[in-house]
Amino acid sequence: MTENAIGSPNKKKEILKNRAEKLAKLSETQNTANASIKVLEFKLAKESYAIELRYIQEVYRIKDFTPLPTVPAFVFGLINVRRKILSVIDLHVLFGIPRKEEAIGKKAIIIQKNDMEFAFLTDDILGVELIQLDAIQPTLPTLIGIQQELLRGITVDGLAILDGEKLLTDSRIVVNESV
Amino acid sequence: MEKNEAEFMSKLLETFKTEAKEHLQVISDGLLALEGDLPESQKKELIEKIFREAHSLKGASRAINLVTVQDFCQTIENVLAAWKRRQIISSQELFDTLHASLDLIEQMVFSPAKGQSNQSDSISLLTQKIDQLLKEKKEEIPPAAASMQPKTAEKEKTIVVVKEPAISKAEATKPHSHDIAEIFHREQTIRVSIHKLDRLFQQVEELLNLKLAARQQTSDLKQIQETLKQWDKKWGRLRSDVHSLQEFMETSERSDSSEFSKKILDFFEWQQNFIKSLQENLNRLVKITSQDYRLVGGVVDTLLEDTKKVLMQPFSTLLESFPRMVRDLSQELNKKINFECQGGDIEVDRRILEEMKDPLIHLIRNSIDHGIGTPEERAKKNKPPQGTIKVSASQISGNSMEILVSDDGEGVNIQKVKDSAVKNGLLTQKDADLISGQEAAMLIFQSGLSTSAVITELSGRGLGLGIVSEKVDKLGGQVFVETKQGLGAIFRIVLPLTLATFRGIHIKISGRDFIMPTHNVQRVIRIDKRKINTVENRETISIDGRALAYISLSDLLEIEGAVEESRDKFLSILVVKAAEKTVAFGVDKVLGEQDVLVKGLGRQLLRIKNTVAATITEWGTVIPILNPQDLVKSVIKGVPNKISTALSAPVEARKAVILLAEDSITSRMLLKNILESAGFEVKTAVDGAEAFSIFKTDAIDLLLTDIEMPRMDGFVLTEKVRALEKGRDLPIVLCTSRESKEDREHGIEIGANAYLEKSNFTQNNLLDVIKKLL
Repeated sequence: MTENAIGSPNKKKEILKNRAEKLAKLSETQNTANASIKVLEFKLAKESYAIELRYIQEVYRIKDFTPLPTVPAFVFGLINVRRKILSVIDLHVLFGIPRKEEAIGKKAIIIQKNDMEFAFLTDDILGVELIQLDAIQPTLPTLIGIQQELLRGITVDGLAILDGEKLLTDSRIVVNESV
Repeated sequence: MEKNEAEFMSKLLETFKTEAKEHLQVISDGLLALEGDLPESQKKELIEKIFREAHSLKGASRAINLVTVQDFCQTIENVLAAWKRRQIISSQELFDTLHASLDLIEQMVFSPAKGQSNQSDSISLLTQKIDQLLKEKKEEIPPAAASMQPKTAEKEKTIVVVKEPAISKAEATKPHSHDIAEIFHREQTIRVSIHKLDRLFQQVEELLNLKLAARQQTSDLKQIQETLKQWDKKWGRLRSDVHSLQEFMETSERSDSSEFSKKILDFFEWQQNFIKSLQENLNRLVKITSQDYRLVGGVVDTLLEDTKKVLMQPFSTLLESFPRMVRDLSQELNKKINFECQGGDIEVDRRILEEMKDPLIHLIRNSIDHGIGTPEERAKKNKPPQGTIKVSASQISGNSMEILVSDDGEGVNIQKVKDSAVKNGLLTQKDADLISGQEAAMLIFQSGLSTSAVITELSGRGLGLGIVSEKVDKLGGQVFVETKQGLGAIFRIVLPLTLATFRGIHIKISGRDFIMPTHNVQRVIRIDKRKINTVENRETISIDGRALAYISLSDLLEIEGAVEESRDKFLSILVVKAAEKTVAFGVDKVLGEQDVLVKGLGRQLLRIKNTVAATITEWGTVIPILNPQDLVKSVIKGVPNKISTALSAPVEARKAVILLAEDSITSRMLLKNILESAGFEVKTAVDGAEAFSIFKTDAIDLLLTDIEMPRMDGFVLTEKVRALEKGRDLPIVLCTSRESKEDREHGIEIGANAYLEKSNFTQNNLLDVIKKLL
C-alpha cells in the first residue's frame, strides 16, 4: 500500500521528511502521548482530508473505469480490481467540491468493513499521518448536511478527518432505486 | 488444544443445526398430514414416524449437550408416546400445542441467545399445556399405569444411553430396522456446505473467461494469417517477372552488374523461403490454437454443466415451508384449505429454486386470499367447505419443467381485471371490450393491477403477480394463467431446470459498451430511419405490420456524448420484450452475441435503475448489463400515453390533499411528516368529528383515519363520509393498532378502501397504498 500511496519523487522526499520529523517528535512526547489514530491523508480538489487506515483495503490507481447510466451523481462508475467489480463514489459531488480533471491516472481509496466495500476518488494521496485524538475538534458549524455527518472532526491544521465507520454504514451511500 | 476443541464444538453445532432442521421438517410435515383425512393405519404409521424423529432429535441434542432442548424433546416425546398408545385423542389443541413446540425448538436451536428468558417462559407454558393434555388421557387405562407410562419410557431410554454413551444420529435410529436401508443409501452421498459449492461454482464460471480468451486469440491469429495471404497474392503476381528477370540475367552473363543483381535475386529467393516458413509456423500455430480452443471450450462447457448439476436440489426443498404457511394463513382467515404437493423429486438448479420461492409464496397467498372463499361462501356455491390448493411440478422436456399452482376457488374475475386495467390506463375501454377473456386474464401480471377492492396486509396492492412475472422472466421462463370464473384458476409456470450460461448482445450506445440479455431480445434488425413515425408525440416503428414504441437507448439512458452520427440512413434496433411489453430500442451499433459472465455490482449499489449487473471482458474492461424490465418500465413512465396526460395533468398540478384524523399527537406528527415529505398536502384533525367538519368544507383527495378516537371513531367517520355525495368515491384508509379480523371486516363492510395495521406498516407500504388509491 505504501508503494501505491506515494506520488511523484518530489512528493516522496517531502513526505519522508515530514514523516522523519513526526517520528522524531513522537519519541519526545511518547510518554505523555494520548491515544492516536493512523490516517491516510489525501486531497479533494484543494482541500485536505484523511481517513483512518483501518478502513482502507488498498489504494488503487484508476487505469480504466466504466460510467453507469441513470445513477445518482455521486456514483462515479465501476472499476475492475483483479477481476472483481467495485463501485467508485465521488465525494466531490457529496461535499459540493468542484472536480474538473480527468479521472484516469488518479487514485481511488478502496475502503471496506464487513460486507460493505467500495472505492472513492481522490485528487492526490499525501501519505500516512499519526493524529492525536485530542487534536481533533468537532466539525465546523458552517458545514451542513451529509458533509458534516460524514466527518469525524477537523484537526488544528485544518485536516478534515472522514468518519470511515459512517461512510461505510450510512444508508444514503447505498443506492437502492427502482424504476 | 482448547481452540481446537472450541472449533470442533462449533462445527458440531453447525452439523446439529442441519440435522435438527431436517427432523423438525419431518415432524412438521407429519403433523400436517395427520390433521388431514387419513386411514387409521396410515395415521398410526405417521405418529410412529414423528415419534422416532423426535427421539432422534433428542438424542442429537444430548450429544452436543443442549440440555434444554433435550428435556423439551422428552416432554414432546411423552405426548407422542401417549398419542401412539391412543391414550390421548387428536384434537385441534394437540396440534396447535405441538406446532408451537416445534417453533420453540427451532428458536432454541437457531437463535438461542435471543430472549432466553422468553424461551424459558414459553417452555414452562408449553410444558404445562402438554401436562394438561396428558392428564386428559382416556380413562381406559388404570391411572397408575398411565402416569407410570412416560416414566418407564424415560427409563428405557436412559438404559440405551448408558449402553451407548456417544450417541450419534445413526445410532439413535439404529433400533428401527427399516431405517437401515436408509443409512445404507446415505453412504452413497456426502454432505457439502452450500457455501463451499457456491465458491467452487464461481471459480468454474470464471473459466468461461478462459474460453472467451482462447477464442479471441484464435481469431487474432487467423487475422495475421489473412494478412500474410496478401503477401502471397502480391508475390504470386510478381513471381513470373522475377523468374524472367532471373533467366535474363543468366543468359546475359557478361553484364557488369551481374554480381550485384545476383545478390538481390538471392535475397528474393531467401526472403521467399523465409516468409514461407513463417507462414507454415503460423499455420501450425493457428491449427494448435484452434484445437486448444475447441478443447478448452468443450472442457469448460462440460465442467460448467456438471457443476450446475451438483448444485441441483429436489423441488421438495422449496415446497417444505408451504404446508405450514397455508395452515397458518387459512386459520387466520377462517378458511378451510387442503394443500397438496406433487413432483417434489424433480431436481432443479438451486439458484432457480431460491428465486422461485417468493413468486410461489405470492401465488399461494393469492389463492388463499382471493381464490378460495370461506366455508360459508363456498357452501352458497355448492362447493365442499374445504378448498384445495395444489402445487405440482413436472419435467416436460430435457431441460424444462412446469409448475402448476391451481385452486378450486373463485377464479379471476375478468370483468374486474378489465375495469381495473382501464382505470389504470393500461387499456382503453374500446380495447377492453375487444380482448378475449384469456388475454384479459394475462393482464393480472402487469404491475399495479389488483382486482381486490380492499387492500389488506396480505395482498391487493397489485404488485404480487407483477413480481411473479418479472422473476419468471428473469429466469428465462414463462407464466400463464387459465381461469374459469367460479371454478378456480391455474397458474402455469414453465422454467428451465438449470440456468443457461447467460448470453447477451454486445451493443454500443453513444460510444459506450453495454450488454442486453439475449433472452429478452426478440429481434435485431436494421431499418430505414424514415420508417420512424411520430404519432401523438411518441415515436413508433412498424415491424411486421405491428406498431411498436420506439426510443433511442441513448435518450432513454440520458447518455450524452459522441453519438456515432453515421451517414447511414439505417438504424440498428433491438426489439425487446419484458414485463409483458414489447419496445423497439435504437442503438448505435450491434457488435454481436456472446456468452457473458455475470458479476454483481457490489454492496454499495444494491439496486440501480436500468442496469442489473456487469461483466468483465477478457481484456479487463467492465461492461454494464442492462435490465430489460427497467428499460421497458422507464419507457412507459417517461412517455406517458395521451389519455392519462390529458386527464391527470391538471389534477397533478396541485398537491393531493390528505385529511388525517388521529388522536395521538405523536402518531399525528409522525404521519403528517411522512406524508408531507412524500409531497402531499396534509390537513389534520384530532378526532372523527373534527375530521368530518373539515371534510364537509374542504376539498379532500384521501382520508386517512385512526379507528379509536374520542367523540367520533373511524368507523362512524367512514360511514358518515360515505353517506355524503362528495364522499362516495373518496379513498379511505383505516389505520389501527387493533389487529382483529372482525374490525377489518367491519371496516370493509362500511366501505373503507384499505385497512392497515399499525404494527405492520412501514413508511413505504403506507405511501404505496396511498399512491395506489389516489
